[in-house]
Order: sequence, then C-alpha cells, then structure tokens
Amino acid sequence: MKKRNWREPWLWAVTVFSLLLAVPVLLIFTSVLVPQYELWHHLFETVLSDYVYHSLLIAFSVGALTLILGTGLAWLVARYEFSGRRTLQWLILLPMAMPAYILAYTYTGMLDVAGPLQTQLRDTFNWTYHDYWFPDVRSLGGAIVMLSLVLYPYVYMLARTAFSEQSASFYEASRSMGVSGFAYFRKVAFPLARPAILTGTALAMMEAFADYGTVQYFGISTFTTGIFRTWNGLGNAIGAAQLAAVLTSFVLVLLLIEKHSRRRLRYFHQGQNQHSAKRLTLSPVQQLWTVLFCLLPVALGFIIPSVQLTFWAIERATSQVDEQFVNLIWNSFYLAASAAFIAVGLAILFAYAKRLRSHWLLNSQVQLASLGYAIPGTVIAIGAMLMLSAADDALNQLTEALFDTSVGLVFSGTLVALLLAYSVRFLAVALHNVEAGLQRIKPSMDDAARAMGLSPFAVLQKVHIPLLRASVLSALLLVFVDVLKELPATLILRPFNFNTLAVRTFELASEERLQDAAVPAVAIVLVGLLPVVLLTRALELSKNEAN
Amino acid sequence: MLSLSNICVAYDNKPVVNKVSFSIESGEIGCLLGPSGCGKTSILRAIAGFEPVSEGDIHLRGTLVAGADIHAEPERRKVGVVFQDFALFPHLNVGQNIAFGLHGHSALQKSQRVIELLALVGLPDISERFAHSLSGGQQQRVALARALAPRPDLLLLDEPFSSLDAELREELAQDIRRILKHEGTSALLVTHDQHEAFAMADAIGVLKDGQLLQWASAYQLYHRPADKFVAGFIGQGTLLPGTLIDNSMLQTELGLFQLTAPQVTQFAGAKILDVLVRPDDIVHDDSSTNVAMVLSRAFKGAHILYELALNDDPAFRVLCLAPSHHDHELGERIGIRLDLKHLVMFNA
Repeated sequence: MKKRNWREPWLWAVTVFSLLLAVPVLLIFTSVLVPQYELWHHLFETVLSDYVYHSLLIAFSVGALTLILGTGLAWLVARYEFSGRRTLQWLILLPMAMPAYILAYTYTGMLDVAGPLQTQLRDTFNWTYHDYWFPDVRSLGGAIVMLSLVLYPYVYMLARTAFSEQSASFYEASRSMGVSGFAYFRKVAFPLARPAILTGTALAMMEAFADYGTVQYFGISTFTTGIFRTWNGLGNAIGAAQLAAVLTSFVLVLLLIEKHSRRRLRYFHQGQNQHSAKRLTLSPVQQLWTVLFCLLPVALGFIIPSVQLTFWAIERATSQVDEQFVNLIWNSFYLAASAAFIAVGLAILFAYAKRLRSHWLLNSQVQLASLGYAIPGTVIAIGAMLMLSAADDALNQLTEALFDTSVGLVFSGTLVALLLAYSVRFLAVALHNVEAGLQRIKPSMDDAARAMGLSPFAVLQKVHIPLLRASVLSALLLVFVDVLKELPATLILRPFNFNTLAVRTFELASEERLQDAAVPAVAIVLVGLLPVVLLTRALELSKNEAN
Repeated sequence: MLSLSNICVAYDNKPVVNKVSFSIESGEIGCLLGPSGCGKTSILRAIAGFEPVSEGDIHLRGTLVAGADIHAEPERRKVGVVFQDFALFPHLNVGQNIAFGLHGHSALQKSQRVIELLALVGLPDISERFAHSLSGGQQQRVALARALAPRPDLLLLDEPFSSLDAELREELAQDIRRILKHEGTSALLVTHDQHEAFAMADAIGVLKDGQLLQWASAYQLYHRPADKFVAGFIGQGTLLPGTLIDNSMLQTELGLFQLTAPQVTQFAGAKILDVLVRPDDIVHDDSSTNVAMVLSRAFKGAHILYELALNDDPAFRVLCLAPSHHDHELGERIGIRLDLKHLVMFNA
C-alpha cells in the first residue's frame, strides 16, 4: 500500500494538466448544447454549403495529391539507385520548412497579372491582358496545389521508411512466384506500406483542414475562415465554437483512420527484420528522368519561392529591418521558447508518469491531452478563448465581491491564452520525442544502476539525463519552430498590439505588400529549416541502426 | 533436374563459392551442409536466380539458366523457394499467400489448390488467418505450401528450421520430407545442422570456405568421409596416429591394421597416417584385457560418452559410447574392445 501512495502525485498532476489541455476542445463540443437557430439559419442560407464543399474538396484533393507525390517519390528513392539520390532524399523534405501561406503569397506575387512572369510574357509576345489564358493562382485549385507542395513530405517520410524497411525476402519470394516490376509494387510493396502511407496522408489532410492563411488570402470560404468570420465579424462566440465542432468532427474521422493505420503498422512490421532489398540501378536516361521528377516538387515547393523571397527581402531589407522588426523577432522568439519549455515540461511529466505508474486512466488522460495535434489551430483558439474568458469572469466576480475591484482580463487577454493554445496543439510533438527517448532507457537499466549502489537521484543524473538530452532538445526545437510558424491561433489569441513574425507576414500580405512580407517570411523559412535538418539526421540514424 | 558444374559466385569481386559441382535427380532431396559463411546460401541464391554466377553453368531441367553470360531472371526459373524468415506477406491471409504464385488460374482452381495444400501440410482450417497469428511451426508449413502451390519441380529451402524450437525441427523435417516425396518434388536444402540434413536429405554436400568437399549419402559421409574436415564436421570421433610399415600395415595404439589394395596405392610413400576412430568403433567390455583410462565423461541419458586415453597417454585418445549403467570414475581404467569394420585414414 505504501508503495502505491508515493506514486499518487503522478496521477494527480497528470489529471490536472491533461484536463487543463483537454478543456478547450471539450468546450467546443459542449457549445452545441446552446442552440443558435438564427445563426445557423443564416449560415445555411448563405455560406454553409461553401464551407463544407470547399473544406472537403481541399482536404481530399490535398490527400490525393500528397499520396501520389509522396508515395511516388518514396518509391523511387527507396527502390532505385541513381546519381544524386543521397542528396535528393533530403532535398525532398525541404518544402516542409515553407508554411503554405508564405508559398501562397510568393506565388501570387510571382504569377499575378502584374507579376514578373506575366509581364515578361506580355513584353516578349506583345500581348495585352486579354490575349492569353494564364492559370489563376488565387483559386481553389491554387490553394490545393500550394498545400500539397508543402504537405507531401509527411507522406514521403513515412512511405520511404516503410519501403526501405521491407525485407528483401518479400521481393525475392515474389520473384520466385513470378511477380516482379510494377506487379510487385501493386501486389506487395504498396499494400505493405499502406498503413504508413495512410498515416501520412491523414496527417496531410488534417493540416489541409486546419489551414487558414492560404484560403483566407485566396479568398476561399472554408470552415476555418468561417469560424474567423463568425467570431470576429459576427461576434458570435458560441456560433464560432459550433462551426469549430463540425470541423473537428471531420478531423476526428481522419484521426481514427490514422490511429487504426498505426496499429496495423505494428502487425505489418513483424518478420521484417531481414536485410532490405538492394536498390535497382537505372539506365542513364531513366536516371535523368528520375532526378528531374524528384527535383520538380522541391523546386516548386522550396527552391523557386525561396529564391524569389530572398530577392524581395534583400530589396526591402533597408526599409523593413528596423526597431519594429527586431521587436518582432524578440516577440516571436520568447513566445516560441516559452511555449517550447512548457510543452516539453508537460511532455516529460506525462512520459515519466506513464513509465512509473502504468494505469489505464492515466494512459487515456495522456492520450486525450495529446490529441491536439489533429485539431485545427482555429478551433483550439476558440476553445481556449471560451475557457479563459469564463475563468476571467469568475476571477473578476470574485475580486469584486472580495475587494470591490476588478482585475481585468488576466488570462484571455494575455500571453497565457497563446501559451495554453500552443501547449494543446503541440504537446503531441513534444511527447512523441520525449517518449521515444525514454523508451531507450530500459527499466532494467534503472535496476542495474540501483544494484550498483546509485541513489534514485543519481540514476536520474547519470543515466536518464544524458540519455534523454538529445530527444528533449529535439522536442524543444520542433515545438519552437511549430509555434513560430503557427498563424491562426496566434491571430485570434494574441494580446492587443502584440505581433509575431507569422502575424506580420500575414498582415503585410493581406495589405498586398508582398515584397515587404518577404522579410519576416524569410526569417520564418530559415528557422523552419532547422527541423528538416534534424529529421534528415534522424532518418539517417534509424537507417544505420537498421543495417 | 538440377545440375551445377564448376560454379563460382563472388560479391564485390570477393569469391564466396569456388568451382562447385553437383546434381540432383528428379524426386531427389539434396542438402548443402556447412558452417556459417561457407557459401551454401550463395549457391542456393544462384540457383534461384537472386545472384549471378561469375563462372560455371547451372542447368535446370536440362536448360542452361545461369552461366558466365547468361542469367535467367528468378521469375522465369519456376523454382519454389522457402525462405529462412518464411517471408509470408503480412497483408495477405494464409489462403491469399498460398495463391500468390498461381497465375492464370480461376478463383475456383485457386481455392481448390489452397485447400489441397493446407490439407497436405496438416493445417486444414487456417486459410482465413494472418501470418502474425500463427506459431512458428505453422508459418513454416504455410511457407512450404505457398512454395509448392505452383507445382514447381524443384524446391529450394534456405535454413528452413533455424527460427524454430529444437523440438519442432526434427518433426517438421520428417513431415516436409514426406510431403516432398508425396508431391514428387525435387528439393535442395541448406542447413548448418547435420541432424536436419540426415532427417531430410537423400544426398548431402559438405561445404567449407566455398568449396564442396564431398557429395554423398549421410551413411557415406559418416563412414567414408573424404577428408579430415568432413570427418570432424559429421558425427564424433578422434584421429589416432599410426606408423606405416612396409606400405601395407599400420601400427597404432589399438593394434596392427591391414591396408586394402587401393589404400596401399593411395598412401604409397607416407610414413605417419591418422586413423578415424568413431565412438561406435570402440565397444566397452568389462571382461576385456585391453584397458584405457577415463579422461572425461559426458552423461547422455541412455549412454555415457567416455573419452579414453590409450596406454595412459593423453596424446592417444578415443571415444567410447557405453551403456548408461556402466558408471566409471575419472582416472579409472576400463576394458575396451575394437569393433572397426573399415579403416578410414588420412595423411597426417
């Protein structure tokens, strides 16, 4: 009995913090209990069908495009040997560093009627505006392409790992039974990688549902822009929450698909411990086509836009880099750093609690608290706002009753709101990394260290901290970068007159000052490159361990 | 059915198989036996078509499938393969796995063949199940059924029992032999375990460092090993040195032996020869006047394996398998009798 008691604090701590993180999303769902007939009637008459149609169309088209692109690239890189493969396999990840909204502004600036490309075309061929057809970037199709270009790496990463881990004996067994070439891909390799591919596609679709910056800029009404409009324009908080609840239900379906796929992944992994198949060598002509195909998404999703952004940024650097910009960088930095420390601190608490006291209630609480990665930032922001304004109301009533004075918006109008929303959204990123690190510290290591006469504190100091350091650092970095790129929640929750790089980029772009927007955008993309480097190293490491 | 002549296999110009030749008749079960790294799996992979040969020819059903400039792709060779890790597809159920190699059959024909094969391997009711829910032994049988489904006339088995429990191995080996003989399929097995080889194969090839030392039946390998490595690798035994007298008689600690006419020619000019003495050549007999000192003993249940020194000299050792109730202490001198049916000698 005694042994149980000293571990209870873990359960208490996890319960308090996981509830704190779960409340914003739960509030979203309780909002449906307050009927808003008038609003829904209005929405139904006007824009609701657009929201549903556009959100679904974008999510599914992005799903299809990322699936094809990510799987195709992964298959080429994992299965074939061609010159430049080693470089390409990480180049392909680069578009991850580019937030979709920045890609959208850049291409708009480049391809608009007044942009450099069309101007050049008109000058060359002596055309005027109506002489030729040119695809409109600011369209539904444009949004789908922009999102797909930055989201395909999700599918690519998971698919590549799945393909390269497939045991050579599967390939040989198939060949001995007369199945090779594309038939092998169709009958064996793809079905085996399907759980991984579906997981990646589900993640890409979640991000597509969550996107606000791109669709808002392109003027497409979707659920996320609708939530904003209802919240800001109509001032109807409950209505915004109800729209958010509908969007969240779409995402939850994806979440179920993802969880199910991950479970199947475990079965499929059994018996795959043999060496992986040798890469097939391509003829020089085939190699050329392969390299070009692999380069195309990298060029479109990263190289071309970042070159353009860099030009604009250099052009505008003198006018844009001023005291205000330094302030912007400082705001973004300390906000992202604080959020990273909070999320990783919570992740360490949750991970250790799970390790020390495996209890179904505790495990499901941690599960619930870490679902935030699937929930769009807009939704989390609305939920956090509902929760914190209620808290502010309660606090003010209390202080008025006690001291006859009100303290104002202590939670909802301050950085507390932002930090809560970031913790909800990015806890999973931190938890995933910390748990992966903790898994490498086997319980027998604790026992061995204790048996060699170390105190529990010394075990922590000499075994756990050195082994965990790398994964905690990468968790900090990943959350930091995600916060820095985050747009919709920051837009909704930021305190008055508080600006970050992402918000400033969005504001400048909305004012059609695309060249000026390039300055903060370049800063975001540069920081965004850090996790790509980290991921590349992790992929290399896992491959070396497998060999 | 299968014939290899002087094949060599090399990885990155490093030879791993050196001029190996043997052949397997229709319906025969052959085995390549050797320690790990001896090149046995490379030979199997060359036959299946997963590796090219750098020299020599492989003929399948009388057709040249691999040579210096010829390499028929694995999917053209129509050879069944059972893999060390079974390589059962985790996304397909047992029935779908077995039907995987059946091309150009109707759904009905496929399901009939699946039922037939599952009955043959003794697992009639598992067609709907997935590999991860099967035991190691069941997976092994399914892998066999899958390899046999397209009715290949040659089956290759790569260390098929290595991932199974020791108790299962022998039972499965005999089952697989029965199934192969029932189907009339020729087979080539690769293993490092001589008991598996003995349980399954009609003919066994012993390999060392990429070279085939001897291709013969289990009985021949044990009683007529072609060289010292085979003698040491197969079964137990010791080598006892002896002096050759008049090119025809061998003087050893166990007595004087007469060489046969071919042996006289073979060892003409030699002075010292080693005689292979197997434990069953030395019979323990308490009434014998010939005694040897017990150096060590290993209790084997029904028998005790004694290591004995002749003339109290540990340089001259023999092994003796005595019935278990003949319990003797270390250092004790016990009576032995020689029961050597034929003389196996090597140059010292």
